[in-house]
Amino acid sequence: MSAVATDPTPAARGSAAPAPAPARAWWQPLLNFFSSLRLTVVLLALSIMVVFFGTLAQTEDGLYVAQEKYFQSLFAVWTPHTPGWQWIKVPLPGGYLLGVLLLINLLAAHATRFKFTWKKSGIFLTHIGIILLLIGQLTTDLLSRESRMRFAEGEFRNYTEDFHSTELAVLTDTADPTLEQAVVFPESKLQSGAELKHSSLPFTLRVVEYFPNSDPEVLANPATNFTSIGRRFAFSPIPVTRAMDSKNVPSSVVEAVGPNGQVLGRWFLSAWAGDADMANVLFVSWMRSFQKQGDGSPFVRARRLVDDITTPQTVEVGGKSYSLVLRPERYYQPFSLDLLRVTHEKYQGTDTPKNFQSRVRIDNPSTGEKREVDIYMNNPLRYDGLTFFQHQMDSSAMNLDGRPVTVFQVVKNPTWVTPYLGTIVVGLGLIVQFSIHLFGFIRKRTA
Amino acid sequence: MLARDESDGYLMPMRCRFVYLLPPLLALSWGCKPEEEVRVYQAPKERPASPALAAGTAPATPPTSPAANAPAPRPPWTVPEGWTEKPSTGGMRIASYAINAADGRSVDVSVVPLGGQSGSMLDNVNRWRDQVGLGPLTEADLAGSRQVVKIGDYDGELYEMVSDKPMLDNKYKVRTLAAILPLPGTTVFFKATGEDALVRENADKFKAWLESVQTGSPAGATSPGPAPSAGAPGTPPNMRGPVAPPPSTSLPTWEVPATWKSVPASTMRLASFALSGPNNQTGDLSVVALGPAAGGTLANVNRWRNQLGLGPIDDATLAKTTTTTDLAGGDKAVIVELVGEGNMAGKRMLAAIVPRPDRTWFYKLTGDDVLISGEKANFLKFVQSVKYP
Repeated sequence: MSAVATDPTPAARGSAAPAPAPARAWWQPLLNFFSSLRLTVVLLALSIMVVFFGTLAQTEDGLYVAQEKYFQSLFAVWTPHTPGWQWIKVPLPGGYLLGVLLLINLLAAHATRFKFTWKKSGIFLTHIGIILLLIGQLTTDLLSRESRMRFAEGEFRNYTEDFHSTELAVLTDTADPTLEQAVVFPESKLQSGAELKHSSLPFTLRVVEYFPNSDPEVLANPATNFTSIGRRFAFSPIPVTRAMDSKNVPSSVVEAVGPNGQVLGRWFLSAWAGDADMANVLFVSWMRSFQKQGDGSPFVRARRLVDDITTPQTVEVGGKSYSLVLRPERYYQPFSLDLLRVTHEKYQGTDTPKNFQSRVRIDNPSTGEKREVDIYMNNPLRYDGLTFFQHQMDSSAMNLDGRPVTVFQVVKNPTWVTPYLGTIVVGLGLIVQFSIHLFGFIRKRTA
Repeated sequence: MLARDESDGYLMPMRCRFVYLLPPLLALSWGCKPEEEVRVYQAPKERPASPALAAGTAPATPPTSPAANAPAPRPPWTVPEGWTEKPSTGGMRIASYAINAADGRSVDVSVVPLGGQSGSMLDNVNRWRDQVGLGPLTEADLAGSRQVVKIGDYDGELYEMVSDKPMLDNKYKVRTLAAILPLPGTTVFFKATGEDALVRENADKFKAWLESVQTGSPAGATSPGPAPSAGAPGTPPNMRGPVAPPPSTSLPTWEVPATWKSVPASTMRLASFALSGPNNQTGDLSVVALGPAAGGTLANVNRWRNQLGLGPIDDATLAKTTTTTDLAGGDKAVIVELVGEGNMAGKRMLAAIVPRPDRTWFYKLTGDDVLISGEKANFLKFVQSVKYP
C-alpha cells in the first residue's frame, strides 16, 4: 500500500508555488477510511459470507437462533455441526455491524466524494433509498416485536404473549377485587442459584434449578420434599430445541425463603402448567395414552391429571397468598379485544382452508373507542402501533369448554413504512438514472 | 495497495491502522443487550388457565408417555364400513373419519372430548346450527329437537340439523348429526357433518357406531389408577375411573338430617354433605351414581374394605355382613358397615348401594368412628327417605 495525494483538485495542482500543505485534521484519515469504495466492496463481500454461513447455520440452529446469532449481532463465529469438523471456526462480522458500517460508508462517501449534479441525480436518489432501507432494517430489528394473542369466542384479551420467552410471575390480590398485582421476573434472571427479590414481596425466591426445556412425568410415588404439584409431577431437563415447528417448555425448581431465612417450601414451576397450550398438549397426549392402555374413561382421567397439573401454586406469607406461575412473557396493552365470532371454512371434501376469519370488538377506555372489525387472511387489523394478523388456521382449535379459539400474530413495528419507502425511492432513482442515460444516448444518436 | 479514480474519487486508499476501532466495537457488542428489569404492574384477574385445545406449536418432545412412541391406539369402537380414517392433525380430535362419495361429496366425522363445562347444551346446539346457517333455538325448542341415542352403555343425546340453502359449492345442503356423551369432568362430542344426502345415507351407520363405543365398565373406583408416566410404561390401569350418568339424570328426593351440611358436589359426586362432631370429628357423605352394573356389589365392598385396611371377602361372607332396607320409593338398598383397622383404625364407613335398572346409586358416609356410629340412625333414615322420580 503506498501513499496517495488526498487533494486532487485542479486548483491545488495548478498553483505555481504550492503553499505548504495544511496540517491534516485528525479525523481526515478516519473519514477517508470510512468513505472508501474499497470498504464498500469488503463489506459487501463480508455480507455475502454472513448470508452464506447464516443460511448454513439455519439447518442446525433453526431460523430464530441463526437470525439472532448471525444477523442481529455485531460478531459471530460459525462452526460446523458435523462431528470431527468442529475445530473449524469462521469468525464473521454480525449483521448489525455490517449494516451500520455500510450506512456510515455511504454517508461518508456522500459527505466527501459525491457532488450533486443533475446527471447523477438518479444515483443520489438510489443511495437515499438504500440509506432508508438500511435504517429501516436496523430499526425494525431493534424496535419491532412479534407476539401472539390467543383466545376463545366470548373471551377478551388486553395482553399479547411472546412466542419464545418465559417469565416468572408472582401474583397477589389487590384492594380492587378485579385486579391482581404481578411482580414479574424475566427469563434472563431465572438462572440456577439466582435469588429473586422485590421490595413488594415478603419472601425471596431461590431458583434451585432452571431447565430451558423440559419433559413432564407423572410420579408413581409422591415426592414429599415438594409442595403442591411437584408432589405428583416431575419435569426433567431435555435438550433445547431449535426447530421451527417445536417449542421449548421451561420448568424450574424454586424455594421461597421467608424474611428470617426459613424455607417456606419448594415448588416445581413449569410452563407445561402455566401455558394453556402446553396443558392442552398434555391433555391430548395423556388421553391417547390411557386409551392405548385400554382404559374405559381416558377422557375423565386425562382431564383429572390436567386439572391437577394446572392447580394454582401459592406461597402463604403473613396471611397473604402469592401465586407462582411460569408463563409466556406478557405484553399488556392499553386496550382490549373481545373475540365475538370465529369462522372456519374449508373447501368441500378437503382440509384446505378457505376462509378463517375473526370478528373482534376493540375496546379502548382511554379514547372511548368501541368498534367491531373483521380480521382475516391478508386483512390484518392495524391498531395503536400493532398489526394483528390471523395466524392459527386450525378448525379444530377450541377451548376445553368447546368454544372455538383464534390466534393472532401481533407485530409491533414502528418503522414498518421505511422498507416500503426505501424500495420506492430506490426504484425511482434507478428509473431516473436509466432515463438520463437513455435520453443522452438518443440525443447523441440524433445529433 | 493503491487504487484511485481521479474523475470521481470513488476509490480511496485504505489504511490498516484502524485496527484500533476493533476494541470499542467488541466492547459495544457485549453491552449491546440491555439488562431486563423486574416489572411490577396491576392487571385484571383471569380465570384459572383453561387449557386451550388446539393444534398449536408442538412441544420440543411430546410428553413422555407410553403412547408417545407407540402406534396409534385401537379406537374403542367399531369403524363402519366405508369410513376412512383421517390422519391426526395434532389437534384435539381424538379420531377423524371421512366418508367420500364417488362424485366428490364428502362427510367429516369427528370425536372431540371437551371439558366438563362444555357450555350448555343449548349453546352447543346453537353453535352447530349457526355453522349450517340456521338461527338459534330457545330452551323450549331444544327439547323438541332432542333424540335419545345409545352411546356405548349410556344414553346420549343426538341432534340433527340441516341448512336451509345450498352451502357446499352453492350446490349441496349441509347436514350435521351431533351426539353428546356427558361424562364427569368431560363431554365427548361425536359429530358427522357434510353433504346432506350422504349424511342421511350414513345416519344408521353413525348410530351403530355410537352404540359400539366402549364407554368402559364403570367399577366405581374413586382413586385414580396409575397415570401414564415414564416410570410405568404400558402399565395397564388396575382401576378404572368411575363414570357418572349424564347430567340429565334427575336426583331422587330425600330428607336430610338437620345436622348435615350440604357442600358443593365435586366432579364425580351428585351431592355431598359434611358432618361434624365434638373434638373436631368429621364425616363426609357422598352420592354417586354409576352404570347399571357398576362393577358389582362385591367388587365395590372389597374396594372399600381395602381402603379401610381390611382384607377382601367372598360372596358368602358378603351376604352375612350386609343388610337390606326398603326405600320410600319402593327400591331396596344394601347396607354395608365397615370399621377401619391398622392405619385406618378409628375410621368407620356406612354405605348404601341401590341397584336400579338404569344406574347403581352409592350413598357413602365415612369419617371418625365415634361420629359415624352416632350418625348411623340418621344415615339409615336418610337412605330410607330416598325416592326416585
